[in-house]
Amino acid sequence: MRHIGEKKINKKLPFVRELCQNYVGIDPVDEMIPVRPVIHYMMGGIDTDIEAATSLPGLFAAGECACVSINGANRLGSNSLTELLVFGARAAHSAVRFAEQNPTVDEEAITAQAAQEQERIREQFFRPGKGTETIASIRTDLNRALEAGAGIYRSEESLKVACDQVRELKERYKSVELADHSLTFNTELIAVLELGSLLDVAEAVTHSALQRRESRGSHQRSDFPERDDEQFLKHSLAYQTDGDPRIEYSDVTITRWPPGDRVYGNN
Amino acid sequence: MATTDTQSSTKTMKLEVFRFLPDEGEPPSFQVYEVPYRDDWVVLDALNYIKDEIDGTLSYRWSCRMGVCGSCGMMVNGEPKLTCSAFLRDYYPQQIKVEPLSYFPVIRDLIINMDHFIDKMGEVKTWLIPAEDKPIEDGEYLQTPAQLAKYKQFTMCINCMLCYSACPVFGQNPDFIGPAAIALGQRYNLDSRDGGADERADVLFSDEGIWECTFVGECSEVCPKNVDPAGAIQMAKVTATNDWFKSFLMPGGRKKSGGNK
Amino acid sequence: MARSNEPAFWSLFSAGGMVAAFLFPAAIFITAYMVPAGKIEADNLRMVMSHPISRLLLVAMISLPLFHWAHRFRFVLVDLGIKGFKLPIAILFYGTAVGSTICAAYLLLV
Repeated sequence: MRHIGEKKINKKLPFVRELCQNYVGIDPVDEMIPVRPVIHYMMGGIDTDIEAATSLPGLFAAGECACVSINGANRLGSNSLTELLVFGARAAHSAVRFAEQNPTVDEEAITAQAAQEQERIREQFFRPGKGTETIASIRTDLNRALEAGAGIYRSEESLKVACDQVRELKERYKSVELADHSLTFNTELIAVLELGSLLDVAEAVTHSALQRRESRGSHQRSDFPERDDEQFLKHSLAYQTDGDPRIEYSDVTITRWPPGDRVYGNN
Repeated sequence: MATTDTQSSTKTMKLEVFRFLPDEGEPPSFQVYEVPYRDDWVVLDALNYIKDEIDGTLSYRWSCRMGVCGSCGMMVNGEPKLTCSAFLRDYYPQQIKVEPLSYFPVIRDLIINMDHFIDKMGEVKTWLIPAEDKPIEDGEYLQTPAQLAKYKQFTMCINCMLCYSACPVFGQNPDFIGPAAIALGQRYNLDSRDGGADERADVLFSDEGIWECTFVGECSEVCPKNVDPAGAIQMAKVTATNDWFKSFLMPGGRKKSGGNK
Repeated sequence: MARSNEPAFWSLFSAGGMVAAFLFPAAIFITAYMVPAGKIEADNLRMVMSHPISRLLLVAMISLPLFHWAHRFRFVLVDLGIKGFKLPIAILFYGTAVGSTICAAYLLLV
């Protein structure tokens, strides 16, 4: 950013300058900033309709966790904020409508379900002395597996390895024991539950990517570099099974913008 | 005391951390942990290292790691700081003391109960109360850059509550509305789209509101986003005083608060 | 919660602070240096100060900073942790300021 000059940087990019100085010890006014790719945003997510409803009645999702699919194969910058404002509001309205249409709940069933879940957690994570794995080691290995196998450029080979590694990590997850057995603001418990979800999502990501033998948007296959609208102009839907996830496909709704080539204005 | 296995060639550093589990009858204590020292690490990195590798029971709040969410506020060597922005290199090689934010009840370890703060924001009504009821079909509320400049600084508040922990008045009187809530009230009072100044005045201009403030100024000193809540409060005092005089001089008694737009 | 009447005291406090800040340095400079050093004749000064406007100014210079003190000191006591006696303290301090104002006005204007 050296060509921009100190004055303009201070006016338009003061936060960037501060971050560089504090975290990397570099002043972008006269030094170059080291750059590398990192994970920034989750594309894809919980399948919802245009009113933020999922396939589970009464469950609504909006924002980064959801996939209405208004962003297609690549969510562009700043669209996430708009999406979350619009669909956050829609999810709220949908939830209110649902609550009005379903005024009574089966308290007994809910209490039983909660008790069951609490028992599962106690059984799986609070058993003293049976755990051999830590949250941090599984999480780190998961990071490495996905970054290597399902990174910016992926291939059949790299994705197969990633799928296997995730399967193995799910096995290892069964042996995690928590140090914290308290029921007061137990952040370690939250972390281990989130790790379980991370593993499920990783499984969905790697298997969907393996089966999508084409390149489209942010999914770039070195072994299938072209876009294949005939076979793959579809949404991948991952369903959990006892074994590997089952991948199904649904049609894409195209209203205004058909798929095109990403040429960044150079045409 | 828990320590970690470190190679003799790796630099390390010690953190003395407050531990407390009131719901299970354990009294407050301090635990010393030894963590690797890296010159680009912050106190939050050290806490995460402790939780990952040494003691999974240590509990604290954090989220963005870059000073925009306001979750990781704690007392570092007695000063309220965002632990994601407090660099180990500024303390090395001295030991660092980490405690929960002052003047708030402690739920556990470094986690404080912030319900009271959330309530205060509700009392002040820190949200836009539109001056005119405009249906969506009529389009957006327009605002010039000059109008935005009037209140922009006060929008930077990330609700980290460091200002409350720095405020000796709040330390003595937890009913004081406090720096952040007042600054946020001002943020809306000065917003050209807002018409809620009068609604907020009963809370903001009360004895527990701006008038409890004695302009110590520590709140602005510790604010990580340069909101300058002290400035907001003094500004509000001028507005409140003008309104008060007007209410006697104007015919018809108590008039609506002008909000100083 | 209701809107406070604190603005009454705060305005006096602010006014007192401004008077002290703007007028005291000059006053001290004149009385502590200029007159003893002979740069200003004491008699000339006395003549100027006996003008009614000057007397009014003097009353303001005495009264307002006292209100500033009263308000500030009241809060100093709160900061020191003295929580009870809010009303007696207020009456004592502001009362002193009011009383002094009356005395000054009487001595200077009557």
